[in-house]
Amino acid sequence: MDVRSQISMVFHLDKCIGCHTCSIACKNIWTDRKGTEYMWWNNVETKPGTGYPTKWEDQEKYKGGWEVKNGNLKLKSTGKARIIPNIFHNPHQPSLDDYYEPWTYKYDELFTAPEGNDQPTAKPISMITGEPMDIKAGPNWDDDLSGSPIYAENDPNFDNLSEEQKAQMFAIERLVFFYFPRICNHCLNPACVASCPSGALHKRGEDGIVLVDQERCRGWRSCIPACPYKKTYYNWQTGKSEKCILCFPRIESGQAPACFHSCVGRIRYLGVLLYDADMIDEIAKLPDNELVEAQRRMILDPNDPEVIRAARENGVHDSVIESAQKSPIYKFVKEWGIALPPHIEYRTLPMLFYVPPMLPVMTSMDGDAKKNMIEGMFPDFDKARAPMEFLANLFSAGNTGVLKYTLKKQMAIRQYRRAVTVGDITMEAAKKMLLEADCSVEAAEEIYKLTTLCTFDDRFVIPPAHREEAIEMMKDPLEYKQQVGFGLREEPMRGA
Amino acid sequence: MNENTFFDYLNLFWFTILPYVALFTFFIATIQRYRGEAFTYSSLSSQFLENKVHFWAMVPFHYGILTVLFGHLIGFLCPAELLAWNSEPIRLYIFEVTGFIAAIFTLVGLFNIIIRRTSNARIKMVTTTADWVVIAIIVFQVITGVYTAVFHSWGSSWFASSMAPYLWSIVQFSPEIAYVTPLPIMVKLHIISAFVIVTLFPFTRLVHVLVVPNPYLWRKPQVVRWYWNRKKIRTTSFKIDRK
Amino acid sequence: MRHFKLESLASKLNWRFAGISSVFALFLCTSLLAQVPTEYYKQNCVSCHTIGGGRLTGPDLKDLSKRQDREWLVNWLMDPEGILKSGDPYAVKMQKESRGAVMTRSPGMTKSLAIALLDLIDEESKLEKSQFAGSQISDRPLLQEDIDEGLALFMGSTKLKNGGPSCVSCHVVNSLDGLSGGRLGLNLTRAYARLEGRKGLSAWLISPPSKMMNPIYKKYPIDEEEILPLVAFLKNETEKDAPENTSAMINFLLFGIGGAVLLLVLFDLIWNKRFRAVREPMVKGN
Ligand code: HEM
Ligand code: SF4
Ligand code: SF4
Repeated sequence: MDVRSQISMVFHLDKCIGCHTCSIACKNIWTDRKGTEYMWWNNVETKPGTGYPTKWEDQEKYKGGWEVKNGNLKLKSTGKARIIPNIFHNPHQPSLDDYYEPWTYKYDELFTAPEGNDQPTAKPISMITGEPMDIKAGPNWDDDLSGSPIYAENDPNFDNLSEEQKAQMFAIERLVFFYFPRICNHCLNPACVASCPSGALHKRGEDGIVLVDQERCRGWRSCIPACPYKKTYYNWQTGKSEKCILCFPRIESGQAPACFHSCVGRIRYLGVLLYDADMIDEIAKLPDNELVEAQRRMILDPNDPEVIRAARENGVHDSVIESAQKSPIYKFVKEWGIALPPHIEYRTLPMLFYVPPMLPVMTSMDGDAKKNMIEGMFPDFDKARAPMEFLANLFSAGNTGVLKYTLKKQMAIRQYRRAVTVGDITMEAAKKMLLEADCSVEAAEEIYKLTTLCTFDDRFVIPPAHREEAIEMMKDPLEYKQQVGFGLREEPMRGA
Repeated sequence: MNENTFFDYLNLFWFTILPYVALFTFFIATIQRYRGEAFTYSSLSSQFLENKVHFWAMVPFHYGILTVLFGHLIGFLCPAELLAWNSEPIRLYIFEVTGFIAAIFTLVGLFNIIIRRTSNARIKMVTTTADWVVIAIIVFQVITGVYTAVFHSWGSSWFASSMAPYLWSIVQFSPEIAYVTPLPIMVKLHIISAFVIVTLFPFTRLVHVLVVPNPYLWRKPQVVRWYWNRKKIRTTSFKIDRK
Repeated sequence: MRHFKLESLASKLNWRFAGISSVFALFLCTSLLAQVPTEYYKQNCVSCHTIGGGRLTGPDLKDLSKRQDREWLVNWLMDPEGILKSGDPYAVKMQKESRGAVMTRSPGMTKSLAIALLDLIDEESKLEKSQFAGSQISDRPLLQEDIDEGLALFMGSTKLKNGGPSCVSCHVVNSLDGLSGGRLGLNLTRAYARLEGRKGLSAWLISPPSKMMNPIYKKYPIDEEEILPLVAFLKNETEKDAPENTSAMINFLLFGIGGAVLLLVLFDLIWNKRFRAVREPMVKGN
C-alpha cells in the first residue's frame, strides 16, 4: 500500500446556474496574458453540446487518454517511441480554429467616429493579429443550446444512442439541458504527464496537483492531444504549455481556488482523499463498466487505523490525514456514492467528480395520477427526458447502474425532505424510498445539509500545505503580476 | 602584403579562427543560456496557429535536414567505413541519391516555411527577425550544399578523405587547412556558413535541437515531484493518539 | 509597473555576451608546432622533388648547392612567386623546364626553416641513396589486364592499397555510364595527353602536386604497383576519347527529384489521418 494524498473536487451539477462566474474569476487571475487569451482553464459547457474545444470528447479525432492494447496501457496519441517521428508536426494537435479566435472590440472608434446618422459601432478585432475579424466561434458558443441543430446534435455522447432516443431528446416540448463546468481533473493517471517528453509536466507528491514546469517545458506539445479533457493549453506566445494549477498559491495559503470561491451556485466542493498509488496501473486497465467502482476502491478510508499508519509512514502530515477525515469529497464519492467521474473510460482516473443532474421533472401528471412511475415510487428513469445512456456516457463509461443509483438516492432524499417540510408524502413512504435507494435517514440529512445549507468551511476542507517543509519556496507571485505567468523569473518572450 | 599572403590570412581566418570562435561560442553560450535562462529553450512551435501548411513545412524539412546531418556525421565519425561502402559504384550512387533526396526534402520544407511565415496573418505575429536570420542562413547552407552535391560530386567520398581529416584536425587543436583551402568556392562557402550557423546557434531558436527528449524513452510514464522528504513522519496534531 | 531586476539582467548578459569571451580561444590555435626539417620535407616537398631520383614536377634537388648559392635559395624558398614575378632569369628557366608549373610558398616557411631544409638537402645529397630518392616506375609495355585493373582502381572496386580514396570520388572519365564519376576534380579523359604521356603522368601520380590531392595522398600515397594500371587505364581513355556523358548529371537530378516526390506522397499516406480541423467541417457539414 502506497498511500498518498490528493486534493479532489466535487461539482454538484443540479446546482449550477451556468453563470460563468467561475470562468471569469479564473481568467482574471491567470489567463489575461498574451498567448493565453483563448485559454479557459475553467469553462462551462452546455450539455448536450460540443463544448470547448469543439467536440473534445471525440477521441477518434483528438486521440486523448489511454487505451488498453495487449494488456498494456498505451497513450492514444504519442507515447514513448511514437513521439520521435511525430515531434515535428504533432498529428493529433488541434489548432486555434478548433477552440476559437479570441477577439476584443475597437472601443476607441466609439469616440473617434465622425458625426453622422448612424450609431458608431466598435468593430471586433482579433486578439492574435489585431485585424478586424468575423466572429465565428467562442468558448461557450452553444450556450443554452444555441445553434443546437449544429452543436447539440453533434454531442459525441450521442454516439451509441438510437435514432429514436436522439429524436426524443430534441423534441421541442421535452428539450432539456444542463451545465457542465470543467477544470483540469488533476488525474491519478494523467495522460498529460505521461506524454510529456521533457518531464515538465508532473504531479506534486504532497497534494496531487498536476503542473507544467515552465522552465522545463520545451514546446513539444504532446500533452495537448494526450489530455482527453483538453485541459492543457498551448501558449502560442511563449511556446510553452499551460494548464489549470488549481490555484495552488491560494490553496497553500488556505484559500479555495478562485473558481470555487466565486461559484455563485455553490456547486463546488474541495477536500483531500487518501488513495493507494500501487493500484493505479492495475485499475486503469479494467473494462469500462467496472472503472467507476474500481476507482472508488482505490480511495482509502481515512479513519482506518491501517490506512493512517501507512499514510504517516509515507510522510503524509497528520494534519492532512485529519483533513481527509473531514473531507466532503470522501463522503460524496465513497460514503454516499453519488458523485461520478467524467468520462472515466479515458482511464486517466480523474479526481474531479460530478453529482449528476436529475434534470428537471422526470414525471408528469396525467390528470391526478403521476405518469411514468415505477411501483408508484420512483420515476421511470428510462422514460426520463434525457436518455440514461446519454448521462452514462458522460459520467460512468456507459454503466447505467451506478448512474441510476446516484439519481435514485437524490430522488429519495428530495421525497424525504418533502415529507419533512411539506408533508404531502407520508414519512413512511419516504423512508421506504430511502431504504430502496440505499440511504439511511442520517445520511439523507447530511446530504441535504451539505447540498443546500453548506458554508465555505463545509465545502472547502483545505489541508495545510506545509510549505515550511518544502525544498524551494516560490517567490511572491503578486510581484510578477501582468509580467509573467506564475512564479517565473523571466519575462516570457518569443524570438530567439 | 602580397596577394598570396593576403589569401593565406583569409584562409587562416575562415578555416582556423572561425571554427574555434564558433565552437567556443557554441559551448559557452549554450551552457550559460541553459543555466541562466532555461525558459528560453523551446521549439517555439507555431503549429497551434496554423496546422495545414505546417505539415508540409516541418515534416519534409526536419526529415530532410536530419538525414543530411546524419550523413555528414557518418563521414566525420567513420570515414574509412564510408569509403569502403562507397567502393562499389552502385552503393555510392545509393548513398548520394539518398542524400540528395533528403536535400530536396529540406528545400521543400524551407520553401513551405517561408510561404507560411509570409502569407499567414497569425504566423506573421510570431515571426521575429531572429526567425528570418535562421531561415536565411539555413537556406544559404542548403543551397550551397545542393550545388556542391550536383556540381562537385561525389561529396560522400571526398568528404571522408578531405573534410574528415580537416575537421578532426580542428578537434585535435592542430588545424590542417591544406585539406580545405584548394576546394571550390561553393564548397568553401558551405563550410564557412556551417561555422556561422554553429556560432549563431546558441542565440537563436536552434537551441531546440539540444533539448530533444531522450530520457523520456526510458523513464517511467508518470512523474511525481516531492517537495518534502517523503519518509519523514510529520505530526503537529495532538488529536491523533500515537501508541 | 515593471520592476528592474538586476538578477535577471545579469543572467541575460551572461549568455548573450559569452560569445565574445570565446574569441580568446584564438590564442589556442596560434601556437604553431615547431617543425622538424625531415618531417617538413616529407610533408611539403616530396610531391614535386626527389633527391637523386630524377625530376618530377620540379627538378631533382641532388647537389643543389652546387647549382645555386645559399642566399638566392633562401630567398626562393621564402617567396618563390615573388622572385618569378621579378623576372629572375634562373627562376624563369626553371619554370620552363617544369612545363609551367609554379612552386608556391610552403606553409609556415621561415628563414631558419629554409636554412635547415637546405642543410638537409646537402646532407641527403651526400648519401649513396637518399631517403628521398623517390621510386622508379617500370617501363614494361601496357596490357589489357593493366587497363582492367586500372578501371577497378579508378572506380574503387579494388581498394587503393594504402587507403587513399578512389579516383571516382572526384573525377570523371567520359566512358563511364550510369551516374558517372565525381566532379570535384577535372575530367581525366585527356589527362594522359595533358601530362605528356607515361612518364609525366606517373610522376604526377607518385606524389600528386594538385593542392587538393596533395594532403590526402601524402598521407595515403598511391602504391608504386598501382600506378602502372592507372596510367594504362588513363592512356586507354585518351585514346578512346569518348564523347562526354552529359546525361549523368541530369539523371542524378531526376533520381533525386523523383525520389523526393514519391516520398512526399508516401508521407502524406502515412499521416493521412492527421488532425486537420473539427469545428469548421462540422459547422459546414450541417
Ligand atoms: C534533433 C531533432 C529536432 C527536433 C526534435 C526538432 C523539432 C522541432 C519542432 C517541434 C519545431 C517546431 C515546429 C512548429 O512550428 O511546430 C522545430 C522548428 C524548427 N526547427 Fe527543428 N527539430 C530538430 C532538429 C532541427 C535541426 C537539425 C534544424 C536545423 C539546423 C532545425 C531547425 C528548425 C527551424 C529553423 C525551425 C523553425 C521553422 C519555422 O520557422 O517555422 N531543427 N523543430
Ligand atoms: S485532466 Fe488532463 S491536464 Fe488535467 S491531469 Fe488529467 S490528463 Fe492532465
Ligand atoms: S460559477 Fe458555479 S454556478 Fe456559475 S457557472 Fe461556474 S460552476 Fe456554475
